[in-house]
Amino acid sequence: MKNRPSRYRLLKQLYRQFGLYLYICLAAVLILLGTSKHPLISKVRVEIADISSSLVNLIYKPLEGIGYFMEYLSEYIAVRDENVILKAENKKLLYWKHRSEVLSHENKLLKKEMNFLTDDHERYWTGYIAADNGGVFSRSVLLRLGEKHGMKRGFVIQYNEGLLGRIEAVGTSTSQVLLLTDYASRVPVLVGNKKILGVVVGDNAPLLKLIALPEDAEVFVGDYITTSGHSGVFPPGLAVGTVVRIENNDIYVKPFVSREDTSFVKVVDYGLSGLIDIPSCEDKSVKVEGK
Amino acid sequence: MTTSSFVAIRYFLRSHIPFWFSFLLLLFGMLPWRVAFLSHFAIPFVYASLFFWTVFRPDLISAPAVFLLGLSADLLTISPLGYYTFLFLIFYWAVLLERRFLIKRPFIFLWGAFSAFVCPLVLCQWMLASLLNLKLLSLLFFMGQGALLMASYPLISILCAFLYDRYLED
Repeated sequence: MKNRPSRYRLLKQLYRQFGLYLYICLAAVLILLGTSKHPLISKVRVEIADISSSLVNLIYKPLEGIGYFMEYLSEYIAVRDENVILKAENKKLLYWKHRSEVLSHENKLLKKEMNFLTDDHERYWTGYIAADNGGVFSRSVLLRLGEKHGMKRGFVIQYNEGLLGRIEAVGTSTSQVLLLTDYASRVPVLVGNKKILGVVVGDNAPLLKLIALPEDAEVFVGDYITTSGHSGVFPPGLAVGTVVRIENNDIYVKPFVSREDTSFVKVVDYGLSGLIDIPSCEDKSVKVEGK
Repeated sequence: MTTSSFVAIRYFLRSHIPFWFSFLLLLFGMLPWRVAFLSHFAIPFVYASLFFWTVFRPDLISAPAVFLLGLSADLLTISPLGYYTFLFLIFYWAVLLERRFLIKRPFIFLWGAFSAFVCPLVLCQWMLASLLNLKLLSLLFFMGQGALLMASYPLISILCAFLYDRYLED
């Protein structure tokens, strides 16, 4: 009993001297643990994101005006360059508008002729972006729609009919969206009029990269890229982007829509289930769902 | 409620101001500004706050508090677990070692010292991020982060100094 206070004092002294090093070691252990990518970590992350989104919203409400001002400022800086591009694009679009009107009319007539039944069974929701929680390692946002709103992993995120990403993890009232530009994003696509099969990958940068093309494939700047529908994660025909740069063997694609274009997005359930389930903490078996 | 317990609660709340202010800066970095570069640059503002409090009130920003801040940054952003925890603690440790040299120095000197701490920090961040990504990342992004961090120090230190004068001087 006599030793207890002195032992306690010794421990306290040791903690005071080496406590910081202990925490640094603990952080290093955390890094090692993090590399194992245990499902529990992503579960904790989603739960914390759920709580933090309300906090972020609370802070953002009074600052929304500053947000709009900064957005206005960045748009104003870019307006001159954008104007030149838009004028050129407008000429092209007017031509295509006329073409599409003709084709749309023709399509309507043919469908009527063939008694064609459309397949519009998708469900959709619109939700606000609650927080930007990407960083050096990822490009992702937190959506203010969660499990209680009917969200599920794999639902497609769109804006202005352009593809923005998909839901990666779902919390009670928020969902984690993996953007196309994320390093982990892989989308099977069709390139140009020849419909060449390829894969668009994110690089944690504003531009995407086009890979896995056939050896004899001819790709040009301006080629239009749409989803191919392979793998069953995205339906075919969604607008992804256009080829903007070809350097050596690297082909760069500018997405039609980017995170900065909007503060709300459309979530669409196309009824696809091509994503491999993340094994839960209780059940470690990996379940693969067929299309 | 007795006066002593009221004083105790007030003391408890005030002694946590450095932690909560730094945590607020962390959340500030997550706000959906819709400006392309900002969301990827905002987290490091916490370093400026950490620097200020470590120099002036290290008793109020302890190693467990820094650990908790780093862990929150890791979990709130999609960073590998331990990344910010490790960096925050290393930064805290380095500032703590030089604290005696930094205290009672003019503002300009502190700004310079902070910038001097940021340079190796940028290198550390870049090396650790490249290691965890298993590929060499562009150093430019981290240098941009560092430059923004240096530029942001006056504003954050003014806010910290205001809190210090208003609530913590006694």
